[in-house]
Amino acid sequence: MSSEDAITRRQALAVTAGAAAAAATLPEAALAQVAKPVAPAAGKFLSAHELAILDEVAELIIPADPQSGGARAAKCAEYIDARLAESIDPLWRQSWKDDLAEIDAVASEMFGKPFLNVSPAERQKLMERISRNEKSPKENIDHSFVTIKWWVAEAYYTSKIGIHDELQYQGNVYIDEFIGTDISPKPARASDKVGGDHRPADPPAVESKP
Amino acid sequence: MSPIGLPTVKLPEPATVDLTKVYDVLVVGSGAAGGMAAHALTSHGLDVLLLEAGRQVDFEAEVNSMEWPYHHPRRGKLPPDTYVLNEMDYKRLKPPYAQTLGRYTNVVSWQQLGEGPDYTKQFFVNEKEHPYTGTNFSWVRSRVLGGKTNVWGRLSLRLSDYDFKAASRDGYGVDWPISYADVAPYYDKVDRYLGISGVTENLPWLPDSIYQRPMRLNPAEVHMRGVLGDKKGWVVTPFRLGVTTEGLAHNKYRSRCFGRGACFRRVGGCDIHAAFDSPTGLIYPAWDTGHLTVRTNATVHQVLMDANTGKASGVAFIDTATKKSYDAKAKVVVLAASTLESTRLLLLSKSRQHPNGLANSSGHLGRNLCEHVLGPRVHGIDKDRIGAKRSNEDGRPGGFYIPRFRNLDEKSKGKDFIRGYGLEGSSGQEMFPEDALKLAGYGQAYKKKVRDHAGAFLYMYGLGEVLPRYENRVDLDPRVKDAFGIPVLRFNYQYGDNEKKMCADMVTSMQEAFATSGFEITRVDRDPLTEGSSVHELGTARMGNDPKTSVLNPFLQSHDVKNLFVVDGAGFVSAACQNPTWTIMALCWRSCDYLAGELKRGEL
Repeated sequence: MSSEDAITRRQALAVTAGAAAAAATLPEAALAQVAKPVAPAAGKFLSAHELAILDEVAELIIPADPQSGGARAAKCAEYIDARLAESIDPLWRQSWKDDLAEIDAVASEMFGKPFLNVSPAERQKLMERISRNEKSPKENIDHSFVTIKWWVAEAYYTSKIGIHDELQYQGNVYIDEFIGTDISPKPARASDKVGGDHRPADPPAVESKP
Repeated sequence: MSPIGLPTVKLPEPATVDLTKVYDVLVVGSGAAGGMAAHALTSHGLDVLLLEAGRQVDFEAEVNSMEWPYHHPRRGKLPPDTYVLNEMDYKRLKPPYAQTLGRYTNVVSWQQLGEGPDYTKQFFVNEKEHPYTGTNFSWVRSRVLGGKTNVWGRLSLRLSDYDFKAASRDGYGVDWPISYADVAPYYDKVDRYLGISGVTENLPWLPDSIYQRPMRLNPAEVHMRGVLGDKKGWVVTPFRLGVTTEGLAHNKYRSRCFGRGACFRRVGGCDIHAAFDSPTGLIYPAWDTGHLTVRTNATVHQVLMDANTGKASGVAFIDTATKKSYDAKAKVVVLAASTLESTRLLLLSKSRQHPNGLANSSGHLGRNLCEHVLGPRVHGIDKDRIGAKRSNEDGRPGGFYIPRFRNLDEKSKGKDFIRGYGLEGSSGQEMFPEDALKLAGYGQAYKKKVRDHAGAFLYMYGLGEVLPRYENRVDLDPRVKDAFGIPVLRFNYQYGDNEKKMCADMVTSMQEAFATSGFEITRVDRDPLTEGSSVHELGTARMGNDPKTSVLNPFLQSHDVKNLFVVDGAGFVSAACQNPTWTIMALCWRSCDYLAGELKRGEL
């Protein structure tokens, strides 16, 4: 794995410090999406407590920012809970309860209180702690983080917010012809031609349209 | 109903099909080969009965190509009672793979690991009902009208005499009994009838097709084309796609491509049929001739023989739904049930006269199984594209292809292996950002990094020739039977040293390609996937001039039973490194033209 992939501790800390400042500049719409979690209710499978932990950790993994809503707005925890509720794999279901309990256990160990009672600054410290071995998980909590993050990313980037607001995905539409990436006003590299390559000199006439 | 109002054909209920009649030709299987046989034979005015083990799918309703993930309750993923076998399972477990997965009612092959597997899982067999035994092999089987063409990868390439005469070039194995000149006119016919998109490159080892409008390359690929062409002499060309980009005036069931990118996101599945599939490309047009009869839900288990003439008289099948037994009769029997299912059928049709299986006087039936090896794969980042502005980068049915560059002449000779491989890949933003599952971290930094990298991601993987080997074979398991009580196939097959060395060279080549292009490598996979993973199984009833060392003659006709043909991939002598569908259809068409002529002359 290259260094490009691994966010250093230093970078992560810098981001954490900047998070409060970023929140202050959020547009109103995004702020609405950052809104506090609603009164905890039990999920279809997870308890109210477990679901609240998952919801909060999900938002810490993919937070709201000026570009788009985060994992909470995208209802990632709700999606994961629904998958667990219908699963017929008891080991997998139990592993999620264990993973979420791990979060609480680490919070107790670090701050002497359950995860949901720790301060925002402490939550960031906890995230640093549980993600530190992400690339080569060793302890239970490392594995818990990897699993939770994988599912949150999966849920978020298949959501409406993830696809459209966050990634501004342009495809899955009818287009007359795929013209390639727009690299105007200038090619990325001197050797590249604008607008892709391989366009026949005289495009053949289209024979059938819907 | 097609989303853009294309017509379709509703086939009759299976029970209403006339089985009292002796048809001119009976075709078993409805995929690329069976569909092509139906088209080619009906175009000669022959009355054809097509038997398909599965059902006719309501493609548009089931595949729903444009549905957004968030409109699907599981974002396109599988329901909880369905288990998809993954690479770890294929390596860790032994066939039959479903035997330890008792909790699940439906177990499907790895093909369903892609995005949106819920839309097409029902096109594949339940491994619980269709087990196989022996050595590890990831065997992907589809039992519906159209078979695997409903979900295929669309890369459509021609073979050349570098492949047909490979044995003469490097001394391994045997040459094909035909050359490029024999097949070229049929490649042309397939190109024109089905439509193919690509760029003419004038490479002697990868002949060009007659192309409709090509797909564009994305920026990283355009860059690679320039750099790799200049510095290494490699060609980076847009995917040669079995997709009509300009439409086909002679086919009302298929639209031209509208750049929806759906076939690239789903496990196949173009619900406007711009991407070729056998039902709309071949079977429905053949239906319109009035010469085609289609019987779905027909699980064929035996080729019936006339003891007096020594010729095939038809087949026996079990209704897939009702489990009732039937016979169907014809003057000629054509097997197109997929490479290994056709061979299984011949093995199942053994009798006192044919104790080792039908059409097997050579003893070569089931042997020389070959395919393509894949697994080596490199992922990376085109740094120039980090943070680039958004545009539609995946409105296309395929990415880029780098044709074979090894063992073409003295200069390109591989260090320690023979034959070659091609490299496939893609770049640019896709609907799901793969790097989201790979980039480390959390919080705003992670989120921004995923966003900035979404269009900068690229990957490449190799697809190489697996040598045909006499000892690599399938036969019938003496004990295990499928849900219909039919003996199953037993594999005795594995990669050899040549494949392993070729895979090592693929990795080196891909690393060179990335380094030369200035792309950063983020991940390298080196190991070959489990045998069978290419879904390109070929051979086992190879063609040849000598009945002692081949099962079929150069027209895919049995040496032993003259009114019996096998027109799918089973007749391949070697796999080459090109994706085989276009070649299967060209060889099938050629065989059917010959068949029609022989039948009219009374030679069958």
